[in-house]
Amino acid sequence: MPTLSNYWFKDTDFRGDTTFLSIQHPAGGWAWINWSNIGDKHSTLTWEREDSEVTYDLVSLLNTPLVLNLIDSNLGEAQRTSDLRVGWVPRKYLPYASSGGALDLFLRLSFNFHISTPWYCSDADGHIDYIIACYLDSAGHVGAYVDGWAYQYNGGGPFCTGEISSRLSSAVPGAIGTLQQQLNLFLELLGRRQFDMLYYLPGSAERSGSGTTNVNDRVSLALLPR
Amino acid sequence: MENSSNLFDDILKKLQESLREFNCKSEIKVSDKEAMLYGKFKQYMEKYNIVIHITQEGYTPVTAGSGKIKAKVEEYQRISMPNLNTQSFTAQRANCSQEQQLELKNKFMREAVEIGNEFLRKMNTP
Repeated sequence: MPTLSNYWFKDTDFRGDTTFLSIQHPAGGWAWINWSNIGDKHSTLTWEREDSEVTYDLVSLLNTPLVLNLIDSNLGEAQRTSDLRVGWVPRKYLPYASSGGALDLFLRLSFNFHISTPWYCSDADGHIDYIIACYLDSAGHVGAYVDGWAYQYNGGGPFCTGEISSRLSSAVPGAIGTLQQQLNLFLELLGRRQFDMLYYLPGSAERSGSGTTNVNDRVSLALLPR
Repeated sequence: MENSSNLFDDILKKLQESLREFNCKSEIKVSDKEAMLYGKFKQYMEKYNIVIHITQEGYTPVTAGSGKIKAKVEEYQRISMPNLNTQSFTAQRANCSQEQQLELKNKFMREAVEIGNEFLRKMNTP
C-alpha cells in the first residue's frame, strides 16, 4: 500500500521544526489526514511514497563509534560536544554563494564544538558544518561530494577570536579530504545498485503515525531501487 | 597580511625582551590580523597581569567562516539532485505521459459530444 506523508514546517521554504503524519492507503483511494490544530507553521509538503521505497536515517547511520572517532581525531584542540546532526538545507540558505535551483536540497552534517582558551579570553562554543550534495547520475548510480564548509561560534573575546578563526578556517576545510574519502567508500558499495529516484524525507522517514522532528538537524535518505 | 604578522611578531618580541627586566614571563600569539602578548609577574609582593593586543586599524573580530569547494565539472553535468521545486516536469513519470493523458481526454471529449448528440436525438424522437 502506498503511503501519504504530510509535513508542516515552522519556517518558510521547508525548514526548522517539523510536524509530520504518515498514513497508508489503498491505491486509487483517499488518504485521510485530520489536523486538529497545526499551529504556527509557514510551509508544508506532501509526498506520495511508493512501496519500493528504501530509507536510511542518516543520523542513526552516522552516529557510530567508527565515524565519531574519525571526526574527533581530526578536531585538533577543539572538542566535539554534541552528536552528529544531518539535516537538509535548500541552496538559497547555503552559507556561501552557489548557482543553481534555489530549492535544490543539500545535506548539512554538523556538530557542536568547544575550544578552551587561556585565562584572558572566554572559551569558544559553536558549530561546524559540512555541506554535502547527493545526486543520481544518468545511469542511476548514487554520487555525493562535499560542496562546502562553515563554522560559527560565540566567545573567544576579547582577544582570541583572530587566532580561533584563523585555525578553524584552515582546519575545517582541511578535514574535507577525509570526509570525501569516507563518502567514496560508501558510494563504492552503493555503486553496485541502480536507482530510479533519490530524495530526502524529514526525520526518520516514518511510514505511519505522527510526530515531530527538525529538518535542519535530521533527515533520511530515500531511494527507489531500479 | 604576512607583513602585518611579521610586524606584530617584531614588536611583541621586543616588548617581551623589555618585560624580562621585570622578571615577567610572557607568551606571544600572532595571527593574520591581530596579535597578543600575555604575561604575569610579581613586584613588591604584588602580582600583576599584562596583556598587549595589536590589531590592524578597523579590524573587526570575525566568529564565522564558510567556503565553497570547487566541484568537478563532470559532476555538475551528471547531477540530478533532490529538490523541492514544483515538479511539473516529472509528469512523464506518471502511468502515462502528459501527451497520452491529453490524448485520452480529447478522445473522451469527442465521445462525449457523440453521446450528447445521441441523447438529444432520442429526446427529440417522438
